[in-house]
Amino acid sequence: MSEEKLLDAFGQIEEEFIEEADPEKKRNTSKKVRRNVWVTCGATAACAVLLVGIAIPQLMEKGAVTGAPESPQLEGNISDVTAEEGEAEAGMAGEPTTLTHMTEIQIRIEEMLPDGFVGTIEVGTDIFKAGTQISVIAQDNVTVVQKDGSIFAYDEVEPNIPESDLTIGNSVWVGFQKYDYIDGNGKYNQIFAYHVVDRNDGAATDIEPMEELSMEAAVTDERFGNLFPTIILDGYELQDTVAVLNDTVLVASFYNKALDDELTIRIAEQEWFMNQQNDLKLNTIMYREKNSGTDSYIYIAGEENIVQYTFSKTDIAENERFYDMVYSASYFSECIDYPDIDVKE
Amino acid sequence: MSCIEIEKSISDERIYLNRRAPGKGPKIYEGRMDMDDRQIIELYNERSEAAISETADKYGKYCHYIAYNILYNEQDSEECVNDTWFRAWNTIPPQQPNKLSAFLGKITRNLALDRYKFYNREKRGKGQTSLVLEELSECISAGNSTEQEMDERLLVEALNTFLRSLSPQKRQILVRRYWYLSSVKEIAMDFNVSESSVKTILHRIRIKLKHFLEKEGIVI
Repeated sequence: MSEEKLLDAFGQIEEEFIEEADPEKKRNTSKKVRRNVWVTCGATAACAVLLVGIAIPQLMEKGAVTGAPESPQLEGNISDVTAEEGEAEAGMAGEPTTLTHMTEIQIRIEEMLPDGFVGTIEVGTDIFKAGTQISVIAQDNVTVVQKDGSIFAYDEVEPNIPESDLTIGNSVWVGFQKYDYIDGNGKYNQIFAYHVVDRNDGAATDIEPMEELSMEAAVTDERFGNLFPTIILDGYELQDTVAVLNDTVLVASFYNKALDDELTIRIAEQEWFMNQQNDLKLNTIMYREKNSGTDSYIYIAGEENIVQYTFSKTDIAENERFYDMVYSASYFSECIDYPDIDVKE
Repeated sequence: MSCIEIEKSISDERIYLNRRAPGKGPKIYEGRMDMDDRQIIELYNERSEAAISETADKYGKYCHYIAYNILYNEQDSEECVNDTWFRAWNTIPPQQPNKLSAFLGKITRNLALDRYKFYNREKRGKGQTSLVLEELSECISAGNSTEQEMDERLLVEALNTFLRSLSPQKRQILVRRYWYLSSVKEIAMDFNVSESSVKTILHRIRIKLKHFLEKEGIVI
């Protein structure tokens, strides 16, 4: 049987992947402690000092986080930083504990730095909230020596996308390993960002709570249905399901195999989109060049919500059927005037 | 309601970072653990019987976990684990595994799957194995009957490439499910996400894997 062959092949994957996923490593923590850590962190914004990764001090300078902790500015050789230099009180007391978490946040790049970038979090976590401005700095060959003598070492950090795709306006996923060292005084430690991935297809993180809808359900959905098109362009097939994340944003991804083109539709309240992009332009076709092609996208306003269409390869302006798709949504059913397209060079 | 006026605009901002040398990606390891494994391997090299007891002490639970996820039977799992020590004794030396846990885990997994196939030749039993096999059937492409089947080595290479392309979290979830055969519930608890999220993640990755294998021209 073929699935047995695939299962057998899985058995021979590289050992580093097997070790990385070792269940014991994941469980080397107390769930209760972790939960308290997050609650405390949320209450006091006692997030850790960032080594390879998100520079909270810059966050604080911009006033983006209320109650953010006073974290030291990190410069120079990170290996000089030890657990004792971590700050921000978690309010926890008790036996020393180490926790590791891996998670990702989506950041829209707004400014480039010599060794990273500044952006706004589009899809966040319970600590790093959507809408927060944050900077990501990558450093190589980080070694951290902990109080208890254990050593954590990171190899060279490598973004998983060509650096030419790290451009202003692009959205990237930043993965970080959160290492919490909670000593007897309840102090946090460091957060590392070790990869940056371009997954700018409009899909939100799979970590978010998700509701799955069929196409039919999406069209009739009370929250978003009036902007969801009842006609999809020929050749574009729905990938997975239509997803509603956190009751906040609807995301649907389609793929056209013949054109190797991805279409992503997102629908959310105006405020949500405005939080993602301060200078958002409604009803305007925008372009974003990447190594893999040029995205074209547009935000179209409904009454309370906005619908965003993004194509990874084809040009919205040259797609004659695009507006048929857009206007097939029930919200636009009364629109009988199609504008003359004014193209500015 | 007004209709839309469209204007075309193109961003002309291009800023490039200095390229970094490509690496294998981040690895995180604890120095102490490696020394313990070296000491155990040295016992094998010296043909000391303490090698087995030390291995069982350190990895007995780990190997039992792997076997039980596949077999769902205590006695069979114990037998697989014992066979694992026997195999390790017979292969170290000359083998000198870099990652002893993964080395032993692979042996246990193979032994357990062989036993599972022997017991369940025609029918699918309860437990994670049958569920996992059903899930993996989604990754199998209909393919072209005239296409030649790729050998297993190429399939494994492709799997490794695919795994490398995933984020660590997704990769771990995938490996937990299809290497460790952990239950969805357990994965959800360990990664602090809902079971629904785990199912969605796995489903999406299976679809991506299917497309990836098709693109690579791999027929299973």
